Amino acid sequence: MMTHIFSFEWLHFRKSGVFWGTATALPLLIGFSLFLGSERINEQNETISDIIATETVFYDNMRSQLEAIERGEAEVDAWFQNPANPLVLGQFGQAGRHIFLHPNPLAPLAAGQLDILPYYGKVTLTTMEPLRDNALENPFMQVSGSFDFAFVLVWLVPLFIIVMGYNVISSERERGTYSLLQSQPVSMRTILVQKMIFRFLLVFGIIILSLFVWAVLFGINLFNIQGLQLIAAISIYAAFWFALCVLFNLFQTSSAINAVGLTGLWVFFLLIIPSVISLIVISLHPVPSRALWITEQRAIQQAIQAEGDAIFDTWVVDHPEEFVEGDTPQFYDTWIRRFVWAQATEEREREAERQFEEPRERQAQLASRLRVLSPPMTLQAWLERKAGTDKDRLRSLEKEMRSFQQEWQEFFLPRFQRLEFFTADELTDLPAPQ
Amino acid sequence: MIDIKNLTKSFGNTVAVKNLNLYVAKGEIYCLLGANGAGKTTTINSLLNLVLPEDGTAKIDGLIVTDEPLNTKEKLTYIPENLALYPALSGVENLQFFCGLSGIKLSDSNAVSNLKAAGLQEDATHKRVGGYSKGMRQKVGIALAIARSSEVLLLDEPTSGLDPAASSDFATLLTEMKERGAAVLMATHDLFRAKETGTKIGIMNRGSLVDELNAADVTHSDLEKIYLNHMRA
Amino acid sequence: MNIYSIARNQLTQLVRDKVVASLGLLILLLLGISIITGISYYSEITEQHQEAEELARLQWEKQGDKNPHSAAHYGTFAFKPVTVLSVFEPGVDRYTGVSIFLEGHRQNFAAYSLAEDKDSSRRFAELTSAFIFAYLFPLFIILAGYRSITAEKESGMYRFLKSQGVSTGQLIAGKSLGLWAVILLIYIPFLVIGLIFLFITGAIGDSLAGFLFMGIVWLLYFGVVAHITITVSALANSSGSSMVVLLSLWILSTLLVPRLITNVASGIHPVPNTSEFYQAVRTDLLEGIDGHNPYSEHSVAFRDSVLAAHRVDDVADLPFNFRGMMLQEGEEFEKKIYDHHFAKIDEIHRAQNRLFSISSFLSPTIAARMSSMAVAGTDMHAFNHFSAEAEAYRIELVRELNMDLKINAVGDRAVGYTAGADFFAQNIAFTYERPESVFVSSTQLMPLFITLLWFVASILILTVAAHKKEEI
Repeated sequence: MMTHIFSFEWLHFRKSGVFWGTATALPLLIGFSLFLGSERINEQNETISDIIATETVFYDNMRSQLEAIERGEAEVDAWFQNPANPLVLGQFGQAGRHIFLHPNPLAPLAAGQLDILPYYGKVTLTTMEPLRDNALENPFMQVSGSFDFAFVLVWLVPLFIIVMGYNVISSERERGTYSLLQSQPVSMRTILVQKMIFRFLLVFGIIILSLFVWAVLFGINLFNIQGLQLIAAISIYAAFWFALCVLFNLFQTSSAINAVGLTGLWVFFLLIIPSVISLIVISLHPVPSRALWITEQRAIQQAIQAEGDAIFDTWVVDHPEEFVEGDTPQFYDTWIRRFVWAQATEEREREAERQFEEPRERQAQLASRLRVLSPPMTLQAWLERKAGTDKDRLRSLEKEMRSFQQEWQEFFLPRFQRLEFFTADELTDLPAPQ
Repeated sequence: MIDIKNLTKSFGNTVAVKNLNLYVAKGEIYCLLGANGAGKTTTINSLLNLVLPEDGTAKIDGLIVTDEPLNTKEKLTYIPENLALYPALSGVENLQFFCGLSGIKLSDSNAVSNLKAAGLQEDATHKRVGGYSKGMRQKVGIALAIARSSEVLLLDEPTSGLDPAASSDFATLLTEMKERGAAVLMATHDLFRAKETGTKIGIMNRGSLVDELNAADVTHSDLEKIYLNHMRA
Repeated sequence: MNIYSIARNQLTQLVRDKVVASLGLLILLLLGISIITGISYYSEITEQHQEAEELARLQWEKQGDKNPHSAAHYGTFAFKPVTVLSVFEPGVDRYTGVSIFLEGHRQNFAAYSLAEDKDSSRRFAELTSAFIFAYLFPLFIILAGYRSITAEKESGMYRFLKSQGVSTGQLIAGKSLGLWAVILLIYIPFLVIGLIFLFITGAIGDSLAGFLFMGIVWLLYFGVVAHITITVSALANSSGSSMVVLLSLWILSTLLVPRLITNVASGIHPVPNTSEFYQAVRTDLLEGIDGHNPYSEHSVAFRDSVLAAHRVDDVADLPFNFRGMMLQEGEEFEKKIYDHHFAKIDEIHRAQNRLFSISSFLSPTIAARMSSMAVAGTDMHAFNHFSAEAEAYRIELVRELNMDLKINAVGDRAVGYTAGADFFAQNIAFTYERPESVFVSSTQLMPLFITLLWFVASILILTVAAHKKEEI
């Protein structure tokens, strides 16, 4: 029976504009989205390798200068140009390391929050600066959002499904073939379900086939467990929308009503629920103003400045072994204080930063609980997680920068504190992020 | 073959069929006459399990329709008043599709010969049904009955809207079906056709069978008089 | 007369249609919620910004005795104000930084956009009037109108009306008027509530023109949607196909084109990434713009010219503090470099915006949205205006600091010179004034013009549909 209905459905589809429209539009949309996605990743990788290259040149340069000095072929003009000085190597100018959140294998599929949050930043002994490419971006782009595979799948595919499935039974009724079908020794539900399964397989097949073909062309590897998960997610999502179509076809409603109703559900799941969720989430857990935060940061800096000497004296008492007393260069006196103050500032700022983190986390938790109300939102969040472009991952940049900064400090600070300069050989194994 | 006993069905406050008893034997064409709303369609629908009787039973070949809806449908072919087919498919393809639903695989040549047996011109069989007349589409319905060798044929006002020639063609086909041994139940307004083609004539009024006649026993004008008398009663 | 009675009949039918009526009420409800949340958001942000602004000024004034140049490094902040109209149309507001750090030697980007801190659900959809008008309202119009003519054909009413002497043109005109009436039934309450709100907040004087412009923009947009809906309904052979065509157009205009064009625009006119930008600035600072006049040479030449002008051999002999003068000279030099690079970015943005404008020939939604952002003062140009004002302020503040150093750090005071609280309290303060006129840039008129063009074109195709000869 199944093969019989399938073969006749196929006979119908071969002659229908809806089918050919879908079979052309979907692969093109998917292809274009993956093209843009892979371009985005290429650009990211280029940025990353450019920066790493610049970094390497800088440190190679430092080392060769230092070697020249060690051989007595060159001289040091000023302390801040001495490549043996930990400050020159770890803090000044181009010194420091960039930390990257490298794109995941599935990153081309979803641009996620990449247009808002940075994926790399620079760490020195006292600073952690996320580099916000978005600061230069035209903000109208962020308002519109990205055209990526996630968009095609989450927003457009349901519309194709609705067009394929809104009138499976209602069209039989409107055409008049319903009465003849009813008199056949097959129940209408069987026919409805099998017709839907056929359409499901058709749409699903078009998506998967074009996804995999384009992925191979653009060098995205989907032949792994993640590819399987993606297939599963797509099939569940498509099945959800087809199930809604089945539901509407069970009632004796007209095609027009089905179309309006299903489009209404689409609007409900993709536009209304998300806007209500964001409203609820933001009003229940408001994040305080960043404008005030800026002045707060400044107040912390002022306080540290005011208590500066006391803070430093306490530190010296607590860490006698980390401080060289006596006849030290002036930069040592300046910078040893700066490091102590920077640490104190950082501690207090992190404390104050919690007022943002906590509501933000509560927002995220509540949102992820409410998201189940809308399968499109759930799928979007899942895709972003798989692509590594979700807010959680992008926010982890800060944590990675912090943990690397610690490593960086552990390498340079003790040497600076003891005023032990570096030799050229030591420069071969400067800490670097994995 | 068709055996309806004490069938009663009402929709809300309106009684559609009341205590209906009706029997159609093999090789018989039973014509059901009656005004709009007399209960003819409800009677046919009860045989298709489209309405559930409140009381009484409808049987096809000894099987109770409500108990075995799919098995009884296997034995019958139903031709609705306006037989609609898939306009994008040809006559052959439509026939193959509906036959397939009852598990009969029909080759192209078999389909064509069945359609021809139902009176369709050969060159029309591979054309899209979208261009068929009503009479041609009903021939596809008959071809379906032939292909499935249905023992029961249910017809709901099949000749309304047909021109006299097509109507006469159709009557000939029915007679052929009768001769093949089918039991035919046909609801109609066409007194002339009922007398000509039918073997038995039932007259329904307000849900009840008020009269049953042998077609051979009455003349055309008698039939009309009897019918009108019942309607005015 | 015919037109009028058809319109009245259409209106009655739509108002009695349960689906249309409940959708209309839903939209009114959502609009209500959006305005309430918009207002609370606006007043909260305004309050916080005022507070932050005052605090920042206080911190500046109370920064303690300091060398003026240290104060330039200490810097201060400019906070982006929110316009009242952002209640209805937040535009790009959530995506641009809330404040700019103003310091000596460099121009900074605005930092901390609201979008960074908020949950990403918002990126699906947000409950603001502009969102409802751009996305949901067109759907409502389509739903209310897609059957307006096809249903008459399907029920046979069309033939009857024609036999009564009603022309196709009259039918189309009547149906359009009926649809317009339904639109106004929802839109006018919104406008009234908006005006009342502006009146209560006392912002009506400054923002009335913008609000009215915005009102007209959306009305034109609704008109475009309504006219297209009636046209499609008149030309379609069934309600089903009318619906499918209209929904496809909706998807194209609201979803597909906007997303595609932004990606295409950033592909054709890419902005450099942040590290490239800074690298280029650094290079130019060291080597001069295009290799001309690098700072090192420039400063030597400048010093020599100053020494020559005052006929002295040593800067110590100058009657003023040369470092202050040099810092100012350097500041102006650096500003030139930064301005040069920011101008490049601005040029890229303009090129991208031109593409958006072109794409709005395919998508009236883009045209309407860009226009409404422009008149609400929440688009990129408005933000650039703020940035430019903040930059002008920065350079003036740094100049004051350098002048103080130049004039006062002389003689005995030259070494270890500090300025005190009274000096910092006198320093120029930043208050951002939005421009008087609704438009800050002539390029903002482009989308408005295209919106108008769409409106005219939609009337034209409606007329063409009305004059189409047909047999029934």
